[in-house]
Amino acid sequence: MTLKTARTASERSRLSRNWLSKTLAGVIGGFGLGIAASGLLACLTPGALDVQNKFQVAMWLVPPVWIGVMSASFMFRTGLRAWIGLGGANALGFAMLALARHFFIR
Amino acid sequence: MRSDVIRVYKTVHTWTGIVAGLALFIAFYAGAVTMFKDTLDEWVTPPSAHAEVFPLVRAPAVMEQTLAAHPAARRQFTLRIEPAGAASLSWREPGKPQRFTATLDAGGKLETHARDASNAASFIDILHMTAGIPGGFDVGMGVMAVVSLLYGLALVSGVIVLLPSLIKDLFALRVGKNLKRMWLDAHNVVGILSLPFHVVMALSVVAFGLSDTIFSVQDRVIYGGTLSATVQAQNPYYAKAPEVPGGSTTLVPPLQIVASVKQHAPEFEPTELIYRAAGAPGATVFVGGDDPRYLARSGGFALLDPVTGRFLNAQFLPGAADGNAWSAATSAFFALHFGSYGGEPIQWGYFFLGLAGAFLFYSGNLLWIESRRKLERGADAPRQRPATYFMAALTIGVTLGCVAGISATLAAGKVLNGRVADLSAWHARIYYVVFLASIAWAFVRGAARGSVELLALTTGATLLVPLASAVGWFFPSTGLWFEPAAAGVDVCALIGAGCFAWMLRATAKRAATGRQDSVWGYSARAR
Repeated sequence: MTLKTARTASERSRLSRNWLSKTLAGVIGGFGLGIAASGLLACLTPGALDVQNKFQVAMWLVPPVWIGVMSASFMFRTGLRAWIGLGGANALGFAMLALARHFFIR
Repeated sequence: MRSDVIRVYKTVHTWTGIVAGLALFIAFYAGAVTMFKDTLDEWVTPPSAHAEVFPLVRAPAVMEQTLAAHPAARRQFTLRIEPAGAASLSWREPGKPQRFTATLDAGGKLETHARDASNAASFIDILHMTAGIPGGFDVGMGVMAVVSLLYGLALVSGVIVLLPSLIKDLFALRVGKNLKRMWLDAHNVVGILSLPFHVVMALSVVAFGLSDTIFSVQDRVIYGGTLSATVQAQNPYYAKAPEVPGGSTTLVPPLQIVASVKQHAPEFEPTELIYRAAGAPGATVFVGGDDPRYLARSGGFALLDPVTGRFLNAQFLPGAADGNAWSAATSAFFALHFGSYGGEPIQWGYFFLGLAGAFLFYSGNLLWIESRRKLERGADAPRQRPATYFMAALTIGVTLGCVAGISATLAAGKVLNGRVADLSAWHARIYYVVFLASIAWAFVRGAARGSVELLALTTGATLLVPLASAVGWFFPSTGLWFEPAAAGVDVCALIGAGCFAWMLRATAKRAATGRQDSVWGYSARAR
């Protein structure tokens, strides 16, 4: 009986832990993904990097990505998974940015 | 939706809300007031300080004589075109609080005046941008950007928490015995119906406050160090006109500048021309105005060379063919934050959305307090937790202190005009004294008594605004005045004071006869 209630309680709150770790992963990983996304936008859309006001739109893309990723980071089961997941996403994002810069920007 | 998901986002919503809520209340209330910044400016400007207008065709003569007699005006001066066909000229001199204006007398001789007007509207605008956080403008903006990150998290988590019961709860406002239910219903309906507005505000404030940080990181990882050159070259406010060696520095008549802007964008109405470095090589003229049909940045503007009349930057001139899609998107981001589109209906819409936002943050704090309430069991009213007393007093002190402080400092813009040397310092002093004293008062008296007394202060301070105008209307000898063009400020303040008086009555009644197992009852005791 006690074991059962303890288990349902832990199941119900299985996301509500590792707050600090998940939050930090979301803040840092979200900012990184925002920068990578803005870089991909700047490199892959038509026109050079210094087309009038393209840099503005690239900057304005960062806050929505950042806040979106921060919000999603609480869905990771543990803090460690959040770091691994967002770290992997960042590695992928910046690898794509490096490729885009290499092939599309001269 | 899984209950553990709801639970985690409920926690996120609670803590982001409680940390960011009060700063956002100040930003939204002051921002709503700032929607009518020009009208507030008229309200605090005495009739004697209005700049004399002259026909726009005489502007070249006024400009020429002013620049010859006052070298300080060469750095920057403003030619306002209002009403149509008329103009006024003004400039500032370094280290002096007044604005200087110039016109020509009947004999064609230059006449200049120093105008001492209050900057209450600018003070409230800066309060809106920084929430009054000390440490200077950049610190305030930076803090508000971080607050906005939390605000964005609160929006996402709040929607997730509400989703499962959205259809059931959205249009239900259950007014009745269960006060917490009523506040929650009101919080939800305001939050969901104004969600697009809040999303715009949260995202744009992060961009405004942290753009320098984001740019410096982007410069390293995306632009390879070329970004600052791009930003400088595309700056729509500041540029240098191409210099021609030995070329003329004679300004073309302003009418010609207006004509070339109108030719570029026929429906755009220019209202001010700001000249920089007039008479020197590389001079520019910034043309500001409005075309309410466009989502235009600051209503729309362009930068020209005042010697040749050629365009230097027309990316943000609404209706002109120069702007590309990136500029149009950028325009929209700015316009959506400032409500600088659609004319007066949008201005009023943003005003009420701003007030609704202030209500959202206030009600969020109330819900935090109500969720932690200890209910009455038995004869004695239980003592509430210290944290709820603290939060209740802080909420009352900050929100009512902010409202009363803004009213008082605005009224002082009229009452103290011409009576004190440094009016702008007085605006800050009055606001912060009222604001900080209100917080202290709320803690000393407790939330129940404090809310009643501070609502009386807020009502009184807000009444000072129409009162100052009424005294000016009936007794002009007092040095006060009534400005018909800004009568809307008096009417709104009167309506606002009426609302505060109604809240005062309801609050006093609740504190005396409402349930006493609450931080809002008169018998509530801390500790």
